[in-house]
Amino acid sequence: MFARCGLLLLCGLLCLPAVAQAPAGGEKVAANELIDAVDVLLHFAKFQRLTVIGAGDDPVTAKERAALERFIPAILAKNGLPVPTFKVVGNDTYGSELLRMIEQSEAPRYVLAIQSSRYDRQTGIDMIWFEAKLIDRTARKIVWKLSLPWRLVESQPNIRAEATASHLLISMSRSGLIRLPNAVPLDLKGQPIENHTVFASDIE
Amino acid sequence: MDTESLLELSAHKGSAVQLGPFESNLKDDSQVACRGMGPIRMANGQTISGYVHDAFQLQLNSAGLVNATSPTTVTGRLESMDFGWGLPLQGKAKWTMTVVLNSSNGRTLRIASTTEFEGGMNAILFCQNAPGFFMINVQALVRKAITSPEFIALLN
Repeated sequence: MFARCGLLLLCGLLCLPAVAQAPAGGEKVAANELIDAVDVLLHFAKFQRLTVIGAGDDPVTAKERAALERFIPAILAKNGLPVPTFKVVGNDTYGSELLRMIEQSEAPRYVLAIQSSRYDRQTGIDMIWFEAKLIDRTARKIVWKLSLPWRLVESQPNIRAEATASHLLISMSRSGLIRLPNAVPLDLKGQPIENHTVFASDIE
Repeated sequence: MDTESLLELSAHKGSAVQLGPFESNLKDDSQVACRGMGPIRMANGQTISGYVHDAFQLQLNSAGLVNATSPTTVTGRLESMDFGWGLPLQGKAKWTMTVVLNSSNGRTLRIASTTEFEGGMNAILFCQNAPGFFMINVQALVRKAITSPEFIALLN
């Protein structure tokens, strides 16, 4: 009896994250057409050490960082959104590099800036919040934005990076910015990306 | 670095200034007490007003609006800062700052910014997360200043 109850409880806990697979929609702040390509600027910030303002380290590990750098442009391209230019920057060069990308003459109309903006420490759950902002190069305005959580748990960075890219794609699709070629985003092998590694608390 | 402010500033290339020092009205410009958990300190001996200065410097520099030979200099003063601990019955925790920017062309701009966040009961976690909201509030302060219609008048 107790073993059965324990099993049910365990299943409930394990299955709970899968309930919240649907990514949150992004916030569309200006009218725009379907986009066919996007340059991407991925930013990793250094955050303060405990109770110290202004100094610190990037809490995202090298493996997590490598996974995000590899899978974000690759998954976007795999799902019909080519990324002609992809750059990774830190705090010191984020602004100047973003403006350089915006001012490139031979570029897609939109730049997607993915900026790590907040390090959130909670009991047992540390996470980084990335703010994704789609910028219309012509108007120099942000036309869409989305908060993306990244749990600092080290395990399965590739799968979680795929899920993050998938989260971006689905939200852009729901906002009417892109049309996905398949019902759900596909991984590099052409298999549907499952969002089971994106937890409900990540999305809210 | 605030993306909205950067885009706003990039429209004003050619209006470069020198950014002078920021002074402070705070009694202690290097740290602030946090719920009896010891102070929240500035890193590497930096001052709070120096941090605010550097935030403006990075934002203006990234937009190409800082030029050491410009005849116009903008200086600043951190007039006040309040750190609300968000204890029970006190409402939300918050950082509030007021900064005055003075241009050598005689123009002045006073900007205040408040960032609220959940205090919670856990003082250790609160004091670990509070510096992050300080930085968010400084970013909001810079954004508010730069997007103010009076800001560009400081640069001319």
